[in-house]
Amino acid sequence: MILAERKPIADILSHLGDARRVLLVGCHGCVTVCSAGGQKEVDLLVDVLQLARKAQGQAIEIGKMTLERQCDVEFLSEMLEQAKQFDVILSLACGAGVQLVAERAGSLRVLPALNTTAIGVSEQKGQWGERCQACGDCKLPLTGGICPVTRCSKSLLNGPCGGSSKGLCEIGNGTPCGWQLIIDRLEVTGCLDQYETILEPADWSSARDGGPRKLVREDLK
Amino acid sequence: MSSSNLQAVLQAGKFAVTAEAGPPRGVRPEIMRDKARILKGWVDACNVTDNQTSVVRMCSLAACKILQDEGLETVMQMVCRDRNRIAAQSDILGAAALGIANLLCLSGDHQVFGDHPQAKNVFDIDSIQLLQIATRMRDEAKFAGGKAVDGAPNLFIGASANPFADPFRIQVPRLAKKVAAGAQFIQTQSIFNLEKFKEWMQGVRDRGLHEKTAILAGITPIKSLKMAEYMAANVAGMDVPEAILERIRGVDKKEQKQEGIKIAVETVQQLREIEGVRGIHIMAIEWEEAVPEIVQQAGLVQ
Amino acid sequence: MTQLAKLEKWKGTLNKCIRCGYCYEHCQIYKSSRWEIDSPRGKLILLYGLLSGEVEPSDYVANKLFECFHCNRCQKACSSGVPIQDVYADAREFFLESGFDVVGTTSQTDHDLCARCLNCVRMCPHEARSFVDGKIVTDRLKCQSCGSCLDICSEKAVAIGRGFGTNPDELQRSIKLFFTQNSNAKAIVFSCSWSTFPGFQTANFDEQEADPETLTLVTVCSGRLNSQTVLETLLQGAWGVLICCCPESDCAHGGSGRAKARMNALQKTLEEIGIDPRRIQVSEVAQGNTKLFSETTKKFMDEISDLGALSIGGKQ
Repeated sequence: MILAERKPIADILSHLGDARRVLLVGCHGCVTVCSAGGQKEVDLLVDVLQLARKAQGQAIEIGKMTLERQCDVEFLSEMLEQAKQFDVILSLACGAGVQLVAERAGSLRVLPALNTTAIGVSEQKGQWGERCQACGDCKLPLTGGICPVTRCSKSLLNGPCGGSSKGLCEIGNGTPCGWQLIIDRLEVTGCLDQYETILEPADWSSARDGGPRKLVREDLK
Repeated sequence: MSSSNLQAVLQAGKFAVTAEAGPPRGVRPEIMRDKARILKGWVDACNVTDNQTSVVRMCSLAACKILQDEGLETVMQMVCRDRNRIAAQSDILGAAALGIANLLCLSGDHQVFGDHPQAKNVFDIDSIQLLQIATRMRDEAKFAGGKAVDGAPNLFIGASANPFADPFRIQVPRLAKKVAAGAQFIQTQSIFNLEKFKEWMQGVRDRGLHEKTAILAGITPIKSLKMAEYMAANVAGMDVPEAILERIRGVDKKEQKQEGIKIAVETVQQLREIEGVRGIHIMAIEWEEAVPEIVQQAGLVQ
Repeated sequence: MTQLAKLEKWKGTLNKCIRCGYCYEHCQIYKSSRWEIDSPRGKLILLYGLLSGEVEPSDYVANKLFECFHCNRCQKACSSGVPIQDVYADAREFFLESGFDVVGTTSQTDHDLCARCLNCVRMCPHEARSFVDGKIVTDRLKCQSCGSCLDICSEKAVAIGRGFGTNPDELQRSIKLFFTQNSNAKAIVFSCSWSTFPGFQTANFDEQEADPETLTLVTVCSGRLNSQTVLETLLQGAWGVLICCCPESDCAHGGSGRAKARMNALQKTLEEIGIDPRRIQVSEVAQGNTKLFSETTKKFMDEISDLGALSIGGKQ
């Protein structure tokens, strides 16, 4: 799922500025699963904003809705209709959702309440970790199912580097060495002989480096 | 065959000595010239680091030219952290045009260690791919993209190796990969743990890699106890055995530098006995004066 | 009636109960409703009636047995040494195996609202929740009604039917009532069923204060106290909020650590919006430490009295 977390409140407040009527819009998708932008988080943010404005002696009118998803236009129509009564939309969706809303919101300003961080998985209770960089040219068959672009801090395709120590990456904070994980998986799956094959420089044109990606399916049009 | 003196020394079967000089954090070329004066005559070539530990310094290319103008042969270090394949090939052309004879291909420390941790890290290619690209430019006069290079850059190409990094079982296959990619010489991480180094060298010899590439063993003289403890605890991939720390602890503070030199010299002497070690690479960080001392005391004067 | 035979072994034990009522002094369920049938004593009488044949097993009786926060204070207080929780455990098994529709205070999931994020499954300290055949399933015997799952659910898809005062909406109602009805109202103290609540019973409450400054509310576990509930308290006009939790090593639901982390984050948020973070505090009070509970509350009240009310537009 897409991982996100709430922006610091000070940032959200500074971008809201003097807005009097704010519509908070949550999302039942990825941000609910990582407890960042679901209904519960919307309700909490409502209270924080009310308290903040009360402390400043400023009024605020807050509306709230949580949509099925914000990355499909069909789910936005009712909300956009209601949004006409507000000054600004504060979206708790991931960056993709916020942008779709912004595209459709006409003259209404749309602000993100979250920082979208990664494509990732649940690692344990209360913890999620990045797994995929959406490079568009999946290298997993060559590296035992562990992504060298994402899990190696230097995206080495022929790692590890000399900074790998006790299974951890030189950058610290407990980050596992991606290449240690790859080598372990290659070994367990009986593919360690693959290690010495030199992987050629990646074609990054399929990644964001080549420009924003589009997925077009003629057979579905 | 390149114009590299280092390559000539190795091919003649002599025990090579290289050292390292870090460029300044500013614009003054005199700082590099001072280092050249200290090292000239004591080494076969001098490495110039490339934004070491992700701290911005004068670029390796320019610093190499300054050393070279002082009559010191250089090994230009190139990391993959800061430049993509376009800039890397461009710098290789520049190095060749300026007569720089040797190239060391490295991944590079992560930018989190330096003074610009917010920077984007490039890593378009890794050190092994850089080895391949540089080798191809030289041997086939072709760019990575396939088009022809007008005049092949004549470089003696090398890479680094760290027998003390994890996982240990992959460090010989890793060397094999670098050799296959074109590494003609190897400079290792600083050696304090001789047993572990010997174990790695055994694996290297078992695969005949010592004959395909010239291995220069890395040495760092310890300047102080604080430095030794820092290296032991904080530098990933650095193995400083407790016995070494005890030796430094055992001497007076004023004597620590001398003890550090002593340890370095003893290590050099032991390294000379190891089959497959073709020279040493002295990394006397901001202590270039230690290089002539070590070279003399270890009896390496040519 | 072969399943009832399992309960037969408790007949002698049930006889030991001398109806002294010490057990219900510590029962949050009883304190909330004040109905005998909600007290441990009442439940034991029900079971006795089952065995004697005076009471027919039914959904109603079954649910009564599952209305419990598992704090075990009743058993610890029992003057006759009746192992109340052990008796309950067998009775609950009996009702489940007999096919009665039981929920009690155990958690219920609205499968239409459920986003299948599995956060509740991971959060449950008693491994009572699992995802089977596309739905969340609750093990009614393992569930201890702590409410951790209810708290973590982003979709508000988990509910505890009768919260006996501990559900977020019940807490919010009590808070609102307290601040609208009492001109001197200053703070709410949230205590958990284990740590301070029993102590609270025997703390210094010589007489009912005419204009109380604080109200103590019980949550089953401080780890499930919603951040929103705390903020609502401030919005209702509280000068401060005190949360008393068990020492981390004592917490039966692993919630103390969570409570601290949560309130820590809330304090940072308060700072960011210009409100003094000392208005929200978390304090560890071990079970039954009446003295510490009183001291902690007093110290807190002194601090927030200095801070004063949340003023509009001024220094907070």
